[in-house]
Amino acid sequence: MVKYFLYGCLICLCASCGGGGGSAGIGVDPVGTANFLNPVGFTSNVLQYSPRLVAYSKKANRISVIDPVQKREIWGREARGFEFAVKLPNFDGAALFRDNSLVVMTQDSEKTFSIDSNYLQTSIAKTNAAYSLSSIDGTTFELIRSLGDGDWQHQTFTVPWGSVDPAVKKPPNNQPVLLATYFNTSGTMLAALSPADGRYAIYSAASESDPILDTMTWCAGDGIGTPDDASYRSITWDDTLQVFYVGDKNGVIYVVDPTGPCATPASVVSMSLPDNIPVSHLTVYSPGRFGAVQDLDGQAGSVYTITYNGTALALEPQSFPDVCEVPLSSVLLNGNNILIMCTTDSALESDTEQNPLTKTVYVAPRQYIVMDMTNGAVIYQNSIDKELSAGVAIDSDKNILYRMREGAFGNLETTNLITGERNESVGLYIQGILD
Amino acid sequence: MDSMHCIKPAIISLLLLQLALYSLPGNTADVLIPSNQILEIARGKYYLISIGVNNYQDAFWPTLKWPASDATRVADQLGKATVSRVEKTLLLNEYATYDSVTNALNQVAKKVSENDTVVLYISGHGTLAQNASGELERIVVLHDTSQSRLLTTGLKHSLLNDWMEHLRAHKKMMIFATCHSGEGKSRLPENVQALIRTNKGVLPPLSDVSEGALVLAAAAKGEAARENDDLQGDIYTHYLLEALTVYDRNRDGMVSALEAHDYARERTWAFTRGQQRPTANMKQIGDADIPLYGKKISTGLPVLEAYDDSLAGFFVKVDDGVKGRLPLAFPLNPESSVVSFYSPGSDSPLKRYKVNATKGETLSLTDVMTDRPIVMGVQFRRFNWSDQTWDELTGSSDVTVTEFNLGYQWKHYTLGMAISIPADGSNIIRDPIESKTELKSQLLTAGYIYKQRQLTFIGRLELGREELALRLHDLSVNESLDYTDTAFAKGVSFIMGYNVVADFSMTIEAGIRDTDWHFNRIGDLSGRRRSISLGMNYQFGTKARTLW
Repeated sequence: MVKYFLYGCLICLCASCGGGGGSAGIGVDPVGTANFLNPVGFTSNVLQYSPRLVAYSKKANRISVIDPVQKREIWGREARGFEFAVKLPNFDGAALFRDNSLVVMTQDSEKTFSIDSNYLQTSIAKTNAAYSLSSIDGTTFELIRSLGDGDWQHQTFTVPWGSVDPAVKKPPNNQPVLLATYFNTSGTMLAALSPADGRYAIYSAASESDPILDTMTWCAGDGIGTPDDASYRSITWDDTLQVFYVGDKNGVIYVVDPTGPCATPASVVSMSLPDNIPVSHLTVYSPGRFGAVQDLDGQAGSVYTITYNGTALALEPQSFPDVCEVPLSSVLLNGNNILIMCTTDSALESDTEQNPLTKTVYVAPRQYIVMDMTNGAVIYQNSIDKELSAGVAIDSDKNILYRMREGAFGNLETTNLITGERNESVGLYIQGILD
Repeated sequence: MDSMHCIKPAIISLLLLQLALYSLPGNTADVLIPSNQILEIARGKYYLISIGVNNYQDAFWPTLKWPASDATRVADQLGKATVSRVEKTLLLNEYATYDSVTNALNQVAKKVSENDTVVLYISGHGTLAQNASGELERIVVLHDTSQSRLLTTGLKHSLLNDWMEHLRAHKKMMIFATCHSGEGKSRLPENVQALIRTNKGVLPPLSDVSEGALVLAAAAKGEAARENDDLQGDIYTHYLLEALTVYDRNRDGMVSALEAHDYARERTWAFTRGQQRPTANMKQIGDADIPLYGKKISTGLPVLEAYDDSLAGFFVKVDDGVKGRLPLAFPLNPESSVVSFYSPGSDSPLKRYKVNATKGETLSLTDVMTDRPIVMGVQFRRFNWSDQTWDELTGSSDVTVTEFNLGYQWKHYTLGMAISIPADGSNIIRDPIESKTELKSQLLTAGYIYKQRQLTFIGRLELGREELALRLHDLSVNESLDYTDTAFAKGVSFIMGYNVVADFSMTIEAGIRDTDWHFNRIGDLSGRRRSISLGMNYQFGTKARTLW
């Protein structure tokens, strides 16, 4: 079974994830995804820094911005019918997603962007409000991007390669063919990948306040690898080295320089992971260092650490093989520890939420496993019921997991990922409810 | 000559003279009663001083006809057949001089001990004199009393009061078959009459009675004590002595001073057609009562005494008996009696009481009519909160509690406690939150009571602690938040009760109560609220139960 793991609330945007600068900061909802086009899925590695956490409770129909350190609700308001929410980069509000619209909501304002077509995948920039939503037929994507001062770019882009014949180029397990897009950290650059044949296009803007132009750098030809082999499964951006790392279904990782010449199978820098199975997720830990998750249905997944020195990729000796049933993503913690977030195949089949129109599946982690980067020893592991989570954040400096539980009260769990110590603060919404 | 007026007697029987200044020691029991049936054991002597003056040295005082005879009969009959040894002193006419009387008083005062009984009877003229401070003073006119030197030759009531006050005996009584009205057995000097006419002189009360003392008077203040030839003596004295053989009210074998006085008062009042109302003055009813005749051979019926001045003129009926005008005492059935209380001229009782008393017990009508002191009740109280936060927390729902109260009432005051048990109640305050509130109170209460017939009004202060438990339940995830705080509560309420039947009353109450709670994350919750309650009370705790 091919898994579409598009989990939106999960945003890991620490600098390390973005590839820019170290591991500081709180990553909110750093959920990995088993979406075969990860990172173009909702996992999107978008960071939300302290002291904010966005929680969206579907059961209580409330969007809430939480200060997890002071354990109080900054603001909250009623919000109904959304699939998930991510935090705005300026911390003032949230972007809420549903089938036909994206709503940017703050305490005092609300701006709605209608979405023309159903989408299966989105990318969210880390430090600016920039969102792309790919159409289900793989030929267009919608770009919604803040230009500052209340000005927004909302535009539909058409990729240059046209639709993909799903009968010929269908992904494994007969799942729909997707268009993959991915922003750089600031949202000024967007990569669009054809998962069917390895071709790609790079769209860019002159600055954060300028629109992204629909004239792209178009790398046609055979793309990266042979068409049959080039089913991209994951992508991430190294903000320091200014390159994309791309993983495919056969365990190969490629380096794509968006400003350089078009990569070809002959010229592209690549490396094969030990197993010939899909690279389901990539996460930048620090400049030139990133994690790769390999997973195949019915097998335990593994996590590897890879370095890139500007010319070649190399596999670090310490790996985490068979770490869990379905690893979703990994985050580098303080103290040379790694947090690996997992779920289970059974969870994907029975405990997920499906959008009946788009068949999009959102998955949140059920397992949090902390391992020592030097010897692979398990330091801490915990399982939670994702149905009772309205938002999760990680303070990678302090090794703390914050989780807002589902429900109307605003109950916040604080877990030390090293010691396992857990505290609970209840009723963060109460005062807001009474207002 | 009108026999109802003070009449100078003809000649005092010389036979009586031999009794003058003559003491009669020893037990005078004439009725033989087996000793094993006598319930009261003699513990002291019975000192009786009886004084009667028919004629006076000062011609200002008209001669009376019967005082010496009255005093002689009194000396003969009082104390008769009692368990005590009686020592009598009889002073008649010219033997009843100031010196001899004061000497007799002093002799008795020296001899009596705590267990003794002292009775002083005086029949003759009474008058008033203005003392050095300008106040009128009651004077008993003795044989040698001069109307020009009343304060030094007359027997001042103040002197008698002092004498009685300092007697060591526990039981002591004075009986005045005299008056001070200027009529009947009284004459007033001109200057005193002038004072009274001009309202410059105020007739003093009969006397200030010391504890345990009883003062009986043949006539009320301002009335004339009278003699009657047909009765051959002072009217009151005649009936007082008659009572000794006919009015054992509680059937204990002994006639007490109050029994005799009640009988004499009623008969005198009837005989004189309401012109003469004998009075009794005492501070402690039970202690002051003195055996006059006979021996106590049984415990006796319970007695309801109704001597309170405030009840004078009202009527009481016990069971199906005859209505008696107050002040009076009434025998009760040993098990249970229904006491009906009437206003003058009415055949419909104002109140009816069911009284349970045991043999030998003496109850006061005042106590019977006093509210039963212990109040137990239940109220169903509904609070309406004025705090906005509270409304939001509970969806503007009020709280209903069941409140139990237990209190003690004393005259116009009440002290008590109230404990409430919260009633379950919940409300959806907003989807998906359900709110449930519990309020528990433990209060001390103090209030002022005003009664008007069957209505009772109470103003009440409430102080104590209140615990507020708030549970918010999230129906979407089946989780709850519990908040509990206990705080000081203060309040005031106004209660109106209606006595429905017996000692049951229905109440309606309105009040305001304040309690300030604090809940984490919610903040301060002002507990100011209005309440209204309906309830019922039951009063108990005495031998009498109000029927209605």
